[in-house]
Order: sequence, then structure tokens, then C-alpha cells
Amino acid sequence: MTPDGLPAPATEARPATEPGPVLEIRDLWVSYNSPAGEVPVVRGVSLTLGRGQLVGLAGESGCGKSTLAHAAARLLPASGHVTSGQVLYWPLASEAVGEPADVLQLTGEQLRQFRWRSLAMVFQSAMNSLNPVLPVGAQITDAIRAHDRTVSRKACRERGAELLDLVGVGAGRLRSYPHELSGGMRQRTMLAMALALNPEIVIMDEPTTALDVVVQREILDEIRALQRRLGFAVLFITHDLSLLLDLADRVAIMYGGLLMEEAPVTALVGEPAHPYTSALLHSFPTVDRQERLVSIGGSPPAASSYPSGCPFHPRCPRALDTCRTKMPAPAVRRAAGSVCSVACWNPMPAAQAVGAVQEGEPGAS
Amino acid sequence: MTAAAAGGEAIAGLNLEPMQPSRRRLARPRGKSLAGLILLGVFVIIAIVGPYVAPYDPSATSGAILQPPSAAHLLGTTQTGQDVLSQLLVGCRVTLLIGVVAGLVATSLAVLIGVTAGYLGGIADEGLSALSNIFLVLPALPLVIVLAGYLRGAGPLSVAVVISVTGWAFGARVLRAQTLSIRERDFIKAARIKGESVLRIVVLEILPNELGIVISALLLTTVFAILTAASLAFLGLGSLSSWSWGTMLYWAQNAEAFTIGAWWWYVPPGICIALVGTALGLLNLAIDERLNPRLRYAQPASRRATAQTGPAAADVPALTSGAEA
Amino acid sequence: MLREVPALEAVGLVKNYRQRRGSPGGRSIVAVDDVTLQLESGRTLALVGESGSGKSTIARLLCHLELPTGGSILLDGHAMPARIRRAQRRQVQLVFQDPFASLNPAHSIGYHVGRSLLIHGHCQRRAELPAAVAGILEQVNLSPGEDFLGKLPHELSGGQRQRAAIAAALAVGPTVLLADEPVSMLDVSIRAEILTLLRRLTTEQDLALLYITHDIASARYFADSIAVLYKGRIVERGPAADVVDTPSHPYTRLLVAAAPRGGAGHPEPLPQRRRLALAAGGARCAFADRCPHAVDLCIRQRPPEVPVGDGRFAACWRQADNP
Repeated sequence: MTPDGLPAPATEARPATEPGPVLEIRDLWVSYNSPAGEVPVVRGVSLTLGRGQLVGLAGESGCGKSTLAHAAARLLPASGHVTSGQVLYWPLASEAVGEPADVLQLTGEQLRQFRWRSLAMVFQSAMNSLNPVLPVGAQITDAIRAHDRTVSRKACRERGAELLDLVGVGAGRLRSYPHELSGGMRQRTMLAMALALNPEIVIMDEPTTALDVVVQREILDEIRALQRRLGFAVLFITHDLSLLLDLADRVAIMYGGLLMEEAPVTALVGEPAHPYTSALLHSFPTVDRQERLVSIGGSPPAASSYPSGCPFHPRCPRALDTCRTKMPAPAVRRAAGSVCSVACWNPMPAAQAVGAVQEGEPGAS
Repeated sequence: MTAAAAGGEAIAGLNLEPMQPSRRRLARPRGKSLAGLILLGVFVIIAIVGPYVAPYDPSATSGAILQPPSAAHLLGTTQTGQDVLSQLLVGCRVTLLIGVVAGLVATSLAVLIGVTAGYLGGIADEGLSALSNIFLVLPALPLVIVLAGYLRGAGPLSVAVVISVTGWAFGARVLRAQTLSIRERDFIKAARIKGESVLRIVVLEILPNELGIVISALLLTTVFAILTAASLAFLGLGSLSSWSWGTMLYWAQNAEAFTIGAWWWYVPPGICIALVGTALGLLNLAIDERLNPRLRYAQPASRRATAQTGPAAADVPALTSGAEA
Repeated sequence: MLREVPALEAVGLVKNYRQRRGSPGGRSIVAVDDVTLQLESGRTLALVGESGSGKSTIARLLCHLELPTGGSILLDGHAMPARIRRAQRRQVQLVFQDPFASLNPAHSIGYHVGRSLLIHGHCQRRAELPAAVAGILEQVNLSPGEDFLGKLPHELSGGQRQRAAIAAALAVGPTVLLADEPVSMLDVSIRAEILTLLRRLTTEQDLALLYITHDIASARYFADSIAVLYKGRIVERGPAADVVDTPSHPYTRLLVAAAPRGGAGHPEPLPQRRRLALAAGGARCAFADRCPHAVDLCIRQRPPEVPVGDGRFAACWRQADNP
């Protein structure tokens, strides 16, 4: 379905010039308190989200991607805390002034202003986070008024109707209860809530995980279309790399608390620099690409037991001695006319995507 | 249709799964469990050696009537010149015996009825649940009194059995509920598909996962039994032929020790009952903590391992409240 | 090795669940609606469907966890009775979706696999049990097998647990293996090896494998044939590559169009969505309310399975006109 007047999804050319940054995560370290002491989960990650860009953050379980997003939005649980690093936000108005604000240093009132007006979040399985005893219209009103008390209730309702139309649920559902909506519609409602105050950044943590393939695809198309239309930036977190390859402008890959590679999606697919990226790209089939799959022996480490040095070294076919002892620092390279980064002591030679990767048992072809 | 995002592990991959009962996992006791064990141990030792180390025969009368504690009688004497300390030491055995036997019998009944009802479902469940509900609703003490009335003069073991008849129903309900929940889990279905017999599934697949509840039920039922036995004895309905703490209280009340102020007669048995109850309670708390790590670390942000957690999935302030982190 | 009779065959399988009064949709839900499929030894059939399509229910019916409301299940040509004997239990085993829930947390891996051997008499002497179990663990690449004998499930990673579950199922000695979304809860980088393992075991031990999934791309990659399930009915079936490359049924086309492309060119736009408000119940095509090609006949009568090519069938009235 296409709501009124929206352009067809995913067929525009990618922006030729890189937009300025709207959110910049600089060397962020996040730890959790656990019975075993303090456990670093995010270890020195730097990531930039350009204005109006859709950046995908992919990784497997235990890599720290969700923690990174929650830390950037100041939503860590009580046992988590940022040990060092900055999260810089460049509000639109300040582009002229050039002074970003550090989200991690914002005080109470500033934080309230920041939340939902500048940065909104759609959580994992958010459709189960709707209050079951309130109609969705009331919940949208609550969300708006929580962050902007100046808006009247009437204006909130109108805005709610507008938003529900925008995301394809329809204004007629303003009075519906969450259980009267399907999973896909509830997720769209969460999206509507996130967009209520026209934020510049929307962080989405696994927004389509529990949805069926068809509904998932519709929602992803919807997100893309809205993003084009309204101009907000999206940080899209998922374990499912295949979604990002069709959806994102740039993709970042995390493993073991480190950012392993970050590049425009065409560069990532065409010439992945990190052995992990390369293996990951060839570990799942698509309907078009059915060539031999590779699998990576071992399994992703849990945060409490990250390997020393590069966390990927136990599973890496290109591991050197250095990899066992020293954590790789992100190195900058250029590809597809853009700046990328890769954190590896022995990155893949250019244009050698599959051959060097260790193969598991041969699959059917 | 969930995916592997957090793969069944909690916050950022930290493993917060509840500890499974296993012989390999007996950690050193400390804190509550140590205190409880020591306290209970003291009384168990007394129960075993009491009759041998008691300075006097507890039933032996003497001329030293209602003496406060002295060198000859460390806890004083009763109205008939009997030594209170000896009664205390000897009576420990019967008290604990009644408690333990009643606890074991009641818990066994609870397991048998509760787990069977939970697993079989259908008519069997309806019937057994109705039975449990009836026994739950019947007031315990009056029922025990009535039954004990028929057993007047019978030994402590009969008292124990009577008490267990009234004490099994609560544990049965809890175990039934737990069994209903475990029954639907994949590993039980897997056992059925493999061809395991019903008996083996109940005893070897379901019960090991309910060990915590069973032990808890055992401890709490033992406390209940001791208290009920003491109450019975206090009312003169227990087996007066053998010495127990409840019997001491009966004779003390009979002789109006409370009015006279012969505190050395009724205070020691009362305190001992309370201490045994405390010891069992501490053990119960300690076992609860071991089996449920959430209680152990008492972190406000702890949560159970589920397949859909990300950090703060449940912790994030609800949109409707507009609260700040 | 192709036998004359399929290892497992479902004929006209039906499963209804009674609903509480007042629930929407009428008195009972039809979870499985006249499903017929065959599982051949040494070959893999993928059952592709979204949530609510009934695929898990079919798995439960085929391994006798629940009894069908109608239809029959034939094991090696013989009908399975309502009260199944242990010897028949042996023949169909199931691998569950959630590797964290399918192993009893209180028992070691050795116990899980050992019980399978003992129940079905594959190991007569207790003394030989550890070696036999270790052997099976080696088969699923849990190496060295002896090390895993005493481990408890929570000491293993997700992929290892799933292998252990497969080992326990294999130890029974089945002829048919049902895998209900065996990798959807595992990390992406280890999915390929589990699926490859299943395929290898299928060929080596001449098993019939039913691979239940919502991921049509992996179905095409790993399976020999595919059956597409929608609302309890099979809407299309045939050789895997053909069905996915040139889908006949509109629902299959929708699934293929919605699947991720992995960055290889622009994804197809989804067919125009439409929703007819149709009364519940009644005989008609299950997909009629969403189908862009639906005509009047589709709403009035349930379509039969129509041959649409080499060993391919689609339940679609439009295909009946234009084969």
C-alpha cells in the first residue's frame, strides 16, 4: 500500500554527496555491572550518522549494538554506564554556529527537550510495549505532551490522526486499542509515535524482528519512504544483515564490542574489507544469490568473555599473531567515493571477497 | 517468530540464567544458609544426644519445687521438682521428629497429588484439584484437634501423620501450577516424542526442575508441623506420654506458671521452638536465593533471560509516563 | 534411494481447535485445512509459511504430539493409529526451534542422547553407553564426544545445543526427521553449518527431512522440493528451484517479492495490497481477500490443486485457465 502522495520506495539514487553529521558517537565505552565485576560491552566505538541518512548497524548476539544505541539515547538500565566517550548531536540550527552538544552531558531539562524532539526511539518488539488499556490515540497524545507540554489536547489528537495516516494505519484507528490492531499495525503505530515531534534522528532497534516477511517488507518500504519525505536520519539496528543491504545508505558491522567495518552499502557488498564482513555476507542465501554458503566455526562471544586482542581472532581465517594480543583500531580507507573504516590487522585485499574465507561444509548449489 | 537477536541471553550476552539444581553446584554456604544450617545443626545434635546428656530423668520428681535457675538445675525446676533443662533436651527429639516426619509425609503427598494433577490434566486433574481445594479450605487446627481426639494417647508418629493430612494441600496446589507450566515446555514434548513413559517424564524430567519448590515446601511444612504439634500438646491433645516442648508448655500452663512468673519453665521451650522455626526459615530464604539469582544480586536492573531482551527492553520508561531515565 | 512408498505421507490432514465462546472467527479455528504431502527418504521437503500458517501444527501432528481432527498419516504406507506404540514413535523425530528450551536444563547432554539409545534398545549394555553416545555426538560435530557427555545445556552455546538436540533425535534411529525452524533462533554466522549438517545426515542416513521455515531463500537453497502453506492450506508445491524462480501462485510470488535481495539490485515493489472484507467461513480460496488477481470464482469456490508444470501444482483458479 502507498499512503497519499508518497513516492515509490527504494528506487531513488543514493545521495551523491555526504551530508553533514547529525549524530556522532566518538570512542564510546560502555560497561555493565555484573556479578563478575564490571564487564565492558561496547569498547571504543565511533560512528557517525549523517543528516537524513539511513545507517544500519548489524551484529550478532552479544556484539553490543543494542547497548550502543541505548547508551547514545541515555536509556541504559541502572547497571549500565558509559565509562568514556562522547555522543555529539548537531542540531539543525547549530550548523551555522558549529557547536554540537554532548548528549551524555545534557541535564534534566535539556534532556527532556532532546528526547523525542531531536531523537526518538523505536524499540525491539515495541508493538508489545503499547499500553493495552489505552487507545492508541491517547498514547500518542501522552507521548507528545510528555515532551512538549505546550501542545493542546485537541492539537495532539489532530497530530495523532495525521501521524496514523502518515504511517498507513489510518486516522480511523485513533480510538482503537492495541489488541485490535495487527502486529504490523502496532509497529507502525510505534513509528508514528516516534515521529510525533518531527525528530531529526530515529533509532530503531530490531523494529521488524517479530513480523512476517511480507509485513516486514511493507514496513521497511514505509520507513524508507517516510525518511525521504521528512528528512530524518535513521540508525537501524538489526541482526539480519540482509535487510540492511536493501535498505541502508551505509552499514556498520559490530562484533565483540568493536566496530569492525563501516562503509556505504555498495562498498560493503562489493569489496568488504573485514574478514568477518565477508564471511557474514556469504553466510545466508537470498532468492537471487544461491551460490555456495560459508559458515564461520565457533560462535559469537558473550560480553563476559570477549577474547583478548581482536575478538574475532579465534574464528578468523586471516588471524595473525598481533590479532591475539592487540585490539585493532579503526583505519580509514576510501571506497565507492566515500570514507569508510575497518578495524583489522589483516584486512582483505581489495576485490577478493569470497575465496580467502574459510569454508564450512559444502552446501548444495 | 523471534530471531536470534539476544539468543536467549540477557543484557548484552551476560548469562543470568537461574542456576539449575545439580550435584555439581553445591557452593559453600554462607550468610543466611550458614546461620540457618548452624542453628538447625545445634538442635539436631541436641535431638540425637539429648537423652544421654540430660543431667536428670525429665520425669523424675524431686523436692526442689519451682526453683529458679541454679547450679544444680541450670534452667530451674517445675512444680513437681522436675528439671526443666532435662525436659528441654529430651523433648527436642520428639519435637523435631514430629516436625520432620510430618514435613516429609505432607510434602510427599503434595508432590504425588500436585504433580500428577498437573501432568495428567482432564478428569484426573479436576478430581485431584477438588480434593486439594477441600483440604485447603478446611480449617487446619480444628481438624487436627478432631483427628487427634481420636488418637488421644497415641504416640508422636500418629500425631505427625495427622498433621500431615492437613498440611499437604497448599504445596500440592503450587506444584500443580508449576507442573502445568513445565509440561508445555519443549523439552517435555521432546521426551514424549522420544517415547519416554509417563512415569519417567514426571519423576525424571519434571520433578528435577521443581526441586526448589519441593525443598521449600518441605522446610515450610516442617515449621508448620512443629508449631501445630506444639499447639496440640499445649492444648493437651498431643501424646502426653512422651516429652516434647509442647508438652512442657502444657504442664506449665496447667500449673499456671505464667501467672506465678516461673519464666524458666515456659520461656526456654518457646524460644527453642522459635529458633528452630527461624533456622528453617533462613534455610528456605537461602535456597530461594540460590535458585533465583535475581534475588541474589538484588540489582534493580536484573531481569530474567528471555529471547527478546535487549538492554532496557523492560526498563525503559513507558512512553505514557513520560518519565526520564 | 527412491522407494516406492514415501517414508511419511499426510493425506487430507485437518486440525481444528475449539475456541471459547464469543471469540471472533466462529466456534473453531481451522489450523490445518486438508493438507497432503509426502516425505521421501534421502530428500528434503521445505514447508514454507508465515506465522499462523499452521506449519508448526503440521509438525506436531506428524510426530504424534497431537491427534488430527481428520485425514490420515501413513508411515511407510501404514496408517498411524491413535494410540501409537513405542516402536512407531521411533520413526518420526522432531528438532525444535528454540535450542534453549528443547533440552532439559537438569540433565546432561549424555543423558539426553543416552535415553534415546536406551528407550529404543540401541544399546543393550550400560557399559557401552558412553562410547555409543560419544559416537553420535561426533556425528553432529560435537567433538570430542567424550567432553560433551557430562555438560549441562546451559554450558553450551546456541549452536552446540541445537546440535545436541539433533543428536538426541538421531539417536532414536528415525526414518523421518522434522525440523521446525531449526535455525531461526541462532546467530546468522552459524546457521549455514547447522543446515548443512542436517542435509548431510539426511543423505548419509537416508532420512526424510521436513524443513519448516519462513525463509524462502534458505528453502530454495537447502531443499529438494517446496510446499508453500497459507492459512492451513498448501497453495503451491514443486521442485524448490522452480517454485522460487518462477512462482505460479500469487501468494508465492508475494513471498518471493518480499524476500530480501542482499543488496543485489533494487528489490521488486510489492504487488498492490488489497483487502476485501469477506465474511468468515465459506468455501473459497484462502488468499482471495488479498489477491490482486482474484475473480468471482475465487470467492465462491475453493480451488483444487492444478498441475502447472513438471511435478508442480498450484491451488489457484487462474492457473486452471492458463496452465
